[in-house]
Amino acid sequence: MKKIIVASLFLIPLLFVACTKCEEDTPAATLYSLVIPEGLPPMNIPSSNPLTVEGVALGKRLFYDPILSGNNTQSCANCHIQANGFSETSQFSTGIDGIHGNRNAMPLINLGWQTKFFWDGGANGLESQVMGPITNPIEMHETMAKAVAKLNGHAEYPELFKAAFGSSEVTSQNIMRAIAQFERTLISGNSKYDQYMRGEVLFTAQELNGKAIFEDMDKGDCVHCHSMGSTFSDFEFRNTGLDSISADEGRYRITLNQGDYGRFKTPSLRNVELTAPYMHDGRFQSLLECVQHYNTGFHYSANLDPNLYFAVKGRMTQQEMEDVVAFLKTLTDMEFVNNPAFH
Amino acid sequence: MKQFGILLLALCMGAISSCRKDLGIKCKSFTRVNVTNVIGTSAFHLDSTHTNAAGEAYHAYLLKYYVSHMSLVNENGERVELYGHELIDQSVPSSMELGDVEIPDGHYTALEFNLGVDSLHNHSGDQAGDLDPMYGMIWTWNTGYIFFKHEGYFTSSTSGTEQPLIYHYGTDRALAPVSLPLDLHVDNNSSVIQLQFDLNKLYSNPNVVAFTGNNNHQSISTQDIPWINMLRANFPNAFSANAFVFLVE
Repeated sequence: MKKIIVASLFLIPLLFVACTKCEEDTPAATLYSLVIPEGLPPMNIPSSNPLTVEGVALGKRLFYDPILSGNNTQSCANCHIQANGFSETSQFSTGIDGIHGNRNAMPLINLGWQTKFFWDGGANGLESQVMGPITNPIEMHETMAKAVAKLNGHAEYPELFKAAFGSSEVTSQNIMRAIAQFERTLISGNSKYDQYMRGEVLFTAQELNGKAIFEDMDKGDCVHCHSMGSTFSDFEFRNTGLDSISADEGRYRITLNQGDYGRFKTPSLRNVELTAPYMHDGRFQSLLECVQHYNTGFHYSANLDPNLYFAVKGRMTQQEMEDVVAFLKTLTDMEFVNNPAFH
Repeated sequence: MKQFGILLLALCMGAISSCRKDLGIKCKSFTRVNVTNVIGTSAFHLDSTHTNAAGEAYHAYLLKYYVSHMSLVNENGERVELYGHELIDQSVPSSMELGDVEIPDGHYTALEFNLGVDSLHNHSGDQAGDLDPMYGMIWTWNTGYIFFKHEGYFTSSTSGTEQPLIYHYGTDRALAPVSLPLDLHVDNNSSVIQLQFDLNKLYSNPNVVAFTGNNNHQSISTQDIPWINMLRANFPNAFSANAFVFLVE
């Protein structure tokens, strides 16, 4: 597909004319100053896709535009609802053809600190992730080629792409990059937990106790995987003993390594109060059910995560489990949920 | 864009100074690779019926594959890379003409490339050119390129009925290095390299791949791995190359 050089011979006279106008090219997009809340580490943003005001705005518009779905009826936001931490309350989301899969829509929070996406980590970049829901037949069921064609034929998008990326030709690469830019701005860092850590508010006695149990290796031991600090996850893939034989292959589907069977990505716990139902298959409705699972409910199998394998069943009392839940609710960030920049 | 401008300028200067072999003014030497898909000694056509080595009649409605880092190797083992990643699509004639590339004079003895996408480029969809995801040669749920895609129908050797065939070949383990002997003397001249890909050889040399009971491979399960290994061994034998030199007046 390289006829460029041959074709360019005819363009040479034009080049000399055109170059006198080079200075009048579209002004570069304005760099977006991403505010990282105190307590969160710097974000690694790919140098190929710096955040710009125009790029983020375009990504937001695309995120909310059903034009990216096969029959123009669903946008990303249909299953990623801000009020629910950009997840949704259904166990399984329903796609444009009225069918659903077997995994719960993941929340979109602090994605800029994550490196692998989907419950099985099948996408190893936020840009590449964008293609997944758009093209999945059980989700938005569109091809990238048709999405590109629709946007190129749209009255406004070519100008918006030009403002963001310097070219009015819409490409799949720039669709992915724009949406990834918007998603990197979805930062939650002002929950009661964050305010507590900054010394601005006090925890109740129950929240304090819940935090201690969360961190105690002999009690909750939640922190092993839901690392404290920025993200409340290690974003590794683990088998948490939901079933002795997992109905879902999990990470195995990606790696074909037996050890990855039934392993899923550790989700962040930020805004977890708002992201029910829980687990990769949305089987639990409440946070208490989740804590109970890790206390007494988990099943043994060859792939069970070692941290659980060595954990004593029944190590938390009912009160201690409720305290952990009280602590988890301090991760709710109403500023994030109501942020007008996100909708 | 700036680099492209400089390239244009360089080309332009070359054109103005116009090489004259008779006056001893050095010409630039260009080569280009043209790809043809064949079945034995016949041209391959979409929707035409062919017969594979296993004796099964088949036809394809889609045949696409990536070739990457195609390079000429001279008698001293020095490489000149001609192209990065190129998507060959039987339904798009322009995709089979890979374009002119300037090369140094020398005696080239091999044409080398990979069938597939190298592992550095194989795990991101955030790419342009022939790796643009809109060409439908990428798995979007497990980011990675489909190196080779053959979709069509064949006649089952057991039931005699026509059945669908889906071969989506990929993953890092599937990258197949190809090295083809060539005899190309470049000295103030331009050339064309004809690269042929014989689909029937892919399914027979040395491993015979029959379609019956073996008609759905998408490189997604461990059951696909023996099939990947067979095709990877066959790919180097399915290609052949010949070079032709243009004499410059």
